[in-house]
Amino acid sequence: MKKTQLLKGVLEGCVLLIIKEKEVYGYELVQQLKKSGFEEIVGGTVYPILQKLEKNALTTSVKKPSSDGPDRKYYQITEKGREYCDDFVQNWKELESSVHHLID
Amino acid sequence: MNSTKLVIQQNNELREELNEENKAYYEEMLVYMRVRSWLKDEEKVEEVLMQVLQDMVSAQEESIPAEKYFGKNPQTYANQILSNLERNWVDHLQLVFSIVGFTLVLSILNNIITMATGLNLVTVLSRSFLIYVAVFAVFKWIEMDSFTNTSSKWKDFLFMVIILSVFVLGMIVETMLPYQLFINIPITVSWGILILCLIGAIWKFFVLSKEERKAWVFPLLFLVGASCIGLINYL
Repeated sequence: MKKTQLLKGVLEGCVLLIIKEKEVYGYELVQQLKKSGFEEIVGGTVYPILQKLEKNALTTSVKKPSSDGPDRKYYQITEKGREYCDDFVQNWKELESSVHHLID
Repeated sequence: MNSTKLVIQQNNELREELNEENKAYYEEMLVYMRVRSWLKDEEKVEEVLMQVLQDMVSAQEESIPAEKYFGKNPQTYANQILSNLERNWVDHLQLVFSIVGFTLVLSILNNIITMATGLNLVTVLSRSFLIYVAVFAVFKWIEMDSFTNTSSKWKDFLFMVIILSVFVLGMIVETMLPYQLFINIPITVSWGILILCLIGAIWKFFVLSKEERKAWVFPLLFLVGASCIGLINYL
């Protein structure tokens, strides 16, 4: 099984966890994901996730001045997003222990 | 200048900071997204394009090539990004109205040159429809041509021939339509409309930025030329 397939449902939650820590722009987020061990993640898969999160009101965005051209889009977490994060962490822990149980 | 135009201009400037390889990678995606965004909100499309560009510039500053940053399947990612954007019918209606307006102005120019007063509304609508189909076909053509290495001048030529044939065929078919609707437009009204168009076109020329002016020269000359011919005929 491909790792990317396994990752699909989890990535949204992971992106949100990073945004929860501090507001970020796209490039920063991709680098942060890579640093956290998601080395195969590329920008192309991250932008659609960012769009979805914003569409579902889990994040909002603000424009801030940038050294690379015009104002840059920074993502911030919303209250709804925080709740989603808590649920995600809870679900992940349950899933992790179940999978662990099977593996052992 | 509206905000979308401003973003496009900023994109043109910032793109120059990419090196040759990264620029080629980005531009292929840019063209693909712009033509695929038919019916989509242009402002939103340009916003995402700018976001990706800024991030690619950041990646380049840290010596990460665009392909490594954005990924090996730009077409898939671009499709996903576009599918998340909503449709914008206002932009689309604007396009439809400008095509109908364009065809109307052409018919009026034709009336002025030939000093005719009749205007067939069915012809105006059917030609507008043909132009609409042609615009759509060109967009689809560029879209199909993206991310492939199979484009050739030959194929482009063949495509143009097909489009032109459809156009000619359409013009033959429209004369056979059972229902025609003629209205009478006095020559003075035609002149009035033409003069308004001329004033509008000249005004727009001075409002546009230098880059856009180049594209506006041709339609402007066309209008002035047709007016001159009409005037000579009239006198």
